[in-house]
Amino acid sequence: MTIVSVGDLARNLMLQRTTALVRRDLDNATQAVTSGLHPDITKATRGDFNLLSSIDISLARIGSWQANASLLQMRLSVQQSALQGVDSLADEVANDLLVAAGAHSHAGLVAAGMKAEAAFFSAVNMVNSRADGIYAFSGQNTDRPPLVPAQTILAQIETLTTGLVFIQDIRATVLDWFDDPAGFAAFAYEGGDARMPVSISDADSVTAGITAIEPGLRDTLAGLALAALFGRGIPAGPMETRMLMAKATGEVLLEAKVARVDVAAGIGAAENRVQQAQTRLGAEASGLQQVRASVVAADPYESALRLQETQSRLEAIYMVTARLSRLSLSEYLR
Amino acid sequence: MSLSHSLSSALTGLTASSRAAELVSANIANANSPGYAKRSLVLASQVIGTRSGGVEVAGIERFVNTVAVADRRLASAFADNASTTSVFFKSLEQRIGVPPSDSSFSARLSAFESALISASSNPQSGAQLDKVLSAAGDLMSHARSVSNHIQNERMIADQAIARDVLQLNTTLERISEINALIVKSHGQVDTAALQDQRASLIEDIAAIVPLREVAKPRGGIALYTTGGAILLDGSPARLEFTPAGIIVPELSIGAGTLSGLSLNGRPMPMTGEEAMMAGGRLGANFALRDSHAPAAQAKLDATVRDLMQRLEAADPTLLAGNAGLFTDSGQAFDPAFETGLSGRLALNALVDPAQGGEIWRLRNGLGAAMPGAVGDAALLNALAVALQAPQPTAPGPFPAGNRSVGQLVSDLVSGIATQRLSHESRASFASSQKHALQQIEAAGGVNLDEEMQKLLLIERAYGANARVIETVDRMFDSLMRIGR
Repeated sequence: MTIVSVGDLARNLMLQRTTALVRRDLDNATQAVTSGLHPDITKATRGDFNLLSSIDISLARIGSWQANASLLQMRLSVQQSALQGVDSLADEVANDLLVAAGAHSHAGLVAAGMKAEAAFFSAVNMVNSRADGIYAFSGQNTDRPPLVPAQTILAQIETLTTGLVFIQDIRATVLDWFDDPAGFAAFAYEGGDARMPVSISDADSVTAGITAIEPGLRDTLAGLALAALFGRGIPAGPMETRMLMAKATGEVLLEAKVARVDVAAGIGAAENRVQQAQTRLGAEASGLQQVRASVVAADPYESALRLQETQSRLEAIYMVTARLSRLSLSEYLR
Repeated sequence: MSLSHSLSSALTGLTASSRAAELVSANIANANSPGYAKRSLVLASQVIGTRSGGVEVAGIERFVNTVAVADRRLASAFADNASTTSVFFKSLEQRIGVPPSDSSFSARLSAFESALISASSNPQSGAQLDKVLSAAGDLMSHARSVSNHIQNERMIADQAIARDVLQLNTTLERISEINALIVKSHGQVDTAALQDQRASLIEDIAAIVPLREVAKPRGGIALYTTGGAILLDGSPARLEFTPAGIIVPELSIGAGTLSGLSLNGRPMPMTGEEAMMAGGRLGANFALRDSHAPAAQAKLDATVRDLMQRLEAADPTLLAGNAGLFTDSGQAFDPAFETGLSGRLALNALVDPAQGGEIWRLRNGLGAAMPGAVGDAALLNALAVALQAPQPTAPGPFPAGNRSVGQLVSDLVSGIATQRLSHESRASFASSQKHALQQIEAAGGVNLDEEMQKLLLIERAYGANARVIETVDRMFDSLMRIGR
């Protein structure tokens, strides 16, 4: 039998290589334990990043959509509350005018007229209100108030109705001017086209697109403008004429009520859609995050176990190295 | 006269012992030198006439496991080949970034996309437009830096080839000189040290190309590559290669703008059936410079092209031939200059305030003469939709199909990551194979315990021979006393 001696270098090489491999495992295990992620995501996904990157892109989109939805909600609620303000003003003015006309009270008519003029000013101011740096009813020209000052509008209407004595004529002139694109829209509206829909999910987009020339709002403004004219004493005349004018104005405001409610309902529906989208986006995001975690996160129990196991392997190698290095014939040949 | 005969026998024993001690000490001294071949003395009994006349040193034996050495040399060429390629893909993967990282290509793209979506809900906000612009800038500089990285890797590979060729040439010359010396002194003097030196020189070039060593008469050798190129047979081969210096995407070996390798004036192809020099580090660097890196660049360029064209098409204010948000150094995309596009990617100066542009153009159109409505979200919406819409990918390095930009980027990254994994497992296989063969080779090396045991024997033999001389001397003395 031939006895084959084994070179010392072979054992050293073996120990060196094993130590290096175990140390690398130790590094990976430490990284997995401390970061909670797979030390090599590419290995965890087998090099296929389609799932992971589509999840990440979807999550980023959802984040933007959620921000869009909150912004929309704020815009819609600003519009809704301005609209409510205008609505209650119109109701109040209509009520006052009709009551005063019915009561044949001169003082009542004067008071209602004064209130009506102030109401038109407030309504225009409400429509011109500004929140978060943008004008709510200006359409795309969010940097400009939608309407010229109430004073200017009233002055224009006064000029138009100069010389008219019949209530029907005055009423028709004012209402026609408000309906005519070359009238109110051209003279008083300084905003732009309606705002574009804002996307709040890949299929859904909602717009806070109501502008100051929206018919529901415009009709109410026309009624209030008529009431303001009445407040300024137009048409001048006996008590009877004033009463008829008050009645006619009150009726115009009441007729506009239906369109006002429609607009408010439209905004309410949009608000509802935004809210639903927010709930859906939240659920979708948490679902995606779970899938993502299942791909990139390392099981903490498994990583801790691996760390422990690697540690004991490394300790064993150190022990063997120490023992073997003491095993030498020259130690005993003294 | 047999007494003086004993004396001379004992003397040969002393000489043999001291020679053996010399070898043991050399073995012990070189116990940790890699490539050192263990030596031992070959002894034979000396015959003078018909009688035995002591011991003779018949020769010195070098223990070399030639099979293990040859296999290990091939393994080390393979290991260097695999690790060079795997390191390239690993660094490329790190540079382009994989999804969970915020600095990955897909994270930059999705940041750009979500900045567009956010801006579309609030187009009048300057801060939102700035965010879109800076996200676009990040995306642009990421593509540029990946492109620069790829070309830089090609340059490094080119320089590595030049270095390896220089080393091959000088080392082959020296091996040839030593080889000649060994052949000349064969049978006259001990050539073990020269053989060690020759082996260690071969070691220096074994990783560059896969080598085959063939024994020649009188201890000489010839060297071939496994592909069949003759590197040393009598005289050393001469390799030639001209490094390029600066490498840009347009340079390629196919166009003749990058140097190939030639051996004794004959061009050596590095791919295909006739690739006689492939398989080692040299082959890996050629493959990297001429195929892996250009392929990655082409995919990156195709991705950037897709992105550029979508943004150009989405902006209705642009005329045909006008550049979109991303430009090829200021110009619109031109199919004739797709190569290296990602390295020249720039933001359109019209929109970038840093280049004298106006940021409102992001909202109202790059071709718009005047700022339009501040709340106009049409373009921002269109840009966001253009990124998400599945569109047919232009013919090129990607298989045909409808993809969004996000999918295209993820295909690009997945392609690189998959190659990294497969090359890494190839490299780890090659490295463990190399280490296993190294271990087998080292097993035939010096064992200190064995040398110590030999030393004990030598010590005893020396003592015994000395005692023989002393005794024979006393016997001579006795004879002398008779004569008196």
